[in-house]
Amino acid sequence: MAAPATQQIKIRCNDEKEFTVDRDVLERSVLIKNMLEDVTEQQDAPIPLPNVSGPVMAKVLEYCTHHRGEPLPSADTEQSQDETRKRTTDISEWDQKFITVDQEMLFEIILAANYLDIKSLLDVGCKTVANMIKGKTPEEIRKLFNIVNDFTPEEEAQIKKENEWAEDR
Amino acid sequence: MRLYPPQGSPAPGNFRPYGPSPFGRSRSTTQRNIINPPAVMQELPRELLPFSDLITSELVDVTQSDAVVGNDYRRMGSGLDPQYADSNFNVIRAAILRKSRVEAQKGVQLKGLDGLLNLPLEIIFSILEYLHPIDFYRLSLASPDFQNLLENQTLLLMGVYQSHGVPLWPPEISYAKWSALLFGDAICDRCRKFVALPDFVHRQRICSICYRDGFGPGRDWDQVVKMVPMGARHDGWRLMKPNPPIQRSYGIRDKAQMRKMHDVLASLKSSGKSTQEIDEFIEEKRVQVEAIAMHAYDCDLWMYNLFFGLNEDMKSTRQASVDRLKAVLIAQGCQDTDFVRWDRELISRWCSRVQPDHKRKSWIATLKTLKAIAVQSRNQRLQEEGLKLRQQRSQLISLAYTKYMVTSAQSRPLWSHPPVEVFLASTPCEAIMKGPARVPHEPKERKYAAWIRALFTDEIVEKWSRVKKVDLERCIVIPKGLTFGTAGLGVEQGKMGLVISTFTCPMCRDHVRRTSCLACQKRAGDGAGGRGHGHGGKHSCSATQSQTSTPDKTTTVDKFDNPTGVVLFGWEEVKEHFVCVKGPAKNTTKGVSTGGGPVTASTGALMFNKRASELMLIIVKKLGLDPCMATAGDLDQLGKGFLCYESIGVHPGSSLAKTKVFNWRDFVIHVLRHGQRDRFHISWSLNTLLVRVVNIGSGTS
Repeated sequence: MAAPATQQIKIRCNDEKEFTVDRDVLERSVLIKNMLEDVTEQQDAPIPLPNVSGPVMAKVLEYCTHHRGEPLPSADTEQSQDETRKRTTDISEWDQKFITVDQEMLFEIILAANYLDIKSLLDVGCKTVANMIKGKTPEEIRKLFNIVNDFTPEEEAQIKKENEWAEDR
Repeated sequence: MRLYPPQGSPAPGNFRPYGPSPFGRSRSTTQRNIINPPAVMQELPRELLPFSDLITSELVDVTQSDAVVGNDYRRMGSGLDPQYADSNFNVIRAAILRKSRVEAQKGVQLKGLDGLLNLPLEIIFSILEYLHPIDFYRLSLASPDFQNLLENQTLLLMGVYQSHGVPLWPPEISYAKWSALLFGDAICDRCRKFVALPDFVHRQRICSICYRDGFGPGRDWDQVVKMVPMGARHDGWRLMKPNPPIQRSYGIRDKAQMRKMHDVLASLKSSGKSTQEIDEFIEEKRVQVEAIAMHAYDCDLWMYNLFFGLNEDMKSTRQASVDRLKAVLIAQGCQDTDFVRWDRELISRWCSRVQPDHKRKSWIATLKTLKAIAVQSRNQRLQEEGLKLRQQRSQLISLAYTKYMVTSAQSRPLWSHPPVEVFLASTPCEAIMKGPARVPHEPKERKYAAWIRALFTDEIVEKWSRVKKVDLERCIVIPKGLTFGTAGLGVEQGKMGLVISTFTCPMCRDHVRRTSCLACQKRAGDGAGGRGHGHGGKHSCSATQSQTSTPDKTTTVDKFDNPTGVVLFGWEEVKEHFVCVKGPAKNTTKGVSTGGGPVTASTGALMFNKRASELMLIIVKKLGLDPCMATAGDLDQLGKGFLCYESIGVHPGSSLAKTKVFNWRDFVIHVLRHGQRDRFHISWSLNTLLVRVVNIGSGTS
């Protein structure tokens, strides 16, 4: 039973912060959409989201509000677009500005999108991280991930040969 | 030689790079087998795999292949290896990373991603799905953890390879070695010295030197041909027969492969295998050969498309750089004409030899050079334009200066404060620098000269300025054969043309070859030097002395100082000025040249002496004005005319034999002209519109 679009839904984050949001905005999340569909009677109690903090939820709601009018990807379209989705890492201009946050918030958004099952937001987060890895040299990757070069000198010499460093299977 | 479609044309659907298949199997079936390799191929004995390169048509010196290398990458061929022994050079990697880095720069730039490793594994894999296979290879090189993480994710790797169109690794080779072959440093596997393209048949990199020398000289060609399948034999023979270097290159290797095949067959026979089993083995090997050949074809095609795309990308990048540079230069004032030189010649010449990414520094350096050329061209153009502008501005300044002087003379009192001091300067700047206070003495003639200057209207000044080559700072304009005053009248009436006479001093301007210098000679004579710019008071010129030593006594005037060298007024100046410009007269008598010398004016010219000044005082007073307060404008506003009756005793045909009415400007000219001709027989009448006729003459009214 479809609820009116203007219905207000309350959600509660793990830091006890509550948001009152339009239902169509919240239905960008497949998780919440399924929860709302399972509940037949209208309840005033907020929906608990124990894995999402208030600030992160605010960012997620900002994203959902901006994309509230867009159609949700169905399973068929998602499967058909899977190939092209993997090839391109283009991000729209608004999404780029939206995702311009610090590293901690970026990963929190990715985790929240994964938890709330917001595929488009998860894609934006993953593309953003992937763009940071793409085109990097091994040394740049080590700096990016704060990795100490733990190859032994022998391995290093073998790496320099590059087509001999790994054994044939 | 590998048979590829020519560069720029797509491969046709039925195109077979290694000749017609002797087995009659479709390529698509084989290709599917590569992606999903059958079990029988995985169980093949590894030691027999090298036999697969026995198809001679694909045995090619890669450095000579247009299909792989292309015209733009010719230098990657035989000339590349010894010259560019750079192991970091890999055109495949460069082609991929070029786009990768551009895309990566669009995203968010964070300082670190160490938190990524704390994410759940499924999210990490979701992120890795967006990476290119070359990024997986580099992640493996970055850390053993990444290496271990990715090593077992075959499905993920295959999906990424397929999604990016990178050929999958064949079942006979590991992912690690395959990725190193594609994306690793392009160093030859044999000599480990030179750059080499990957050979997808041999699954290794072999430089042109090793191709040429490493396999030894000589081969038994007929024997090799007999061992080659019929379909490939024809192409191989056709390609290799006229090319002895290629025959030498692959001789030993082919022999080794054939020997190995022979040994294998011999061992099979000795082990008691039947003929049917041996034939099945040979057939199986042929299937494997074709599978490897097809896979190599796909890989080569992929590499070819990658290079072709890189070439196009480089072209567009170059063009974008040029356009960007043009935009910057246009913003700095350059025009299209400034780009013509380097755009058409240098860039087109240079770009034909440009290499891919490893030549980027050279490209940038060239762009800088081109930019400098364009800026130099722009500066040269601006310099020329600036010179024209300065000349125009100088003329405008001179015109404005002259207008100012006339306006000033017309608007100021005629007698009390004549603006003669300004005329002492040769340039406006000099006039400002000197100033009126620097002029200690002003004879009356100067006042009169200034007053005469007021006679000339703006129209005359404009006519002066319109005449070409008029340097108003250094010259005056004098009608040919006339004095300054009468010329002004004639010009004003539109009946005369203008001639240009420049008066310059040899002490100041070297372009004047005239040996005589009126100004200097005069200054040396009267000892009034010192105020001019560069004219020494002691300067004397013998040639000038010879001319000025016989002055015209009838027109002797009190010449005022002329320290700037600019001829102002007076018959003597005009006469000698003509001589000065035209060159020395062959025969000069009393200042009048004859016999081919310059033509000077008649003696009936205007002079500016004390008497003329007195006459003008009388005229102004008769008009009821105060000479010390009246201006030329006041005379214009007065609106009075002068009725001139015919003079007594003049020739009946003379113009003076008629009664005329002049305005005050014309009247001044006529009064002075006749006053200097015959000062005792002037019979003029002054008539106004309201007042009776007043006779003036010889100082009596």
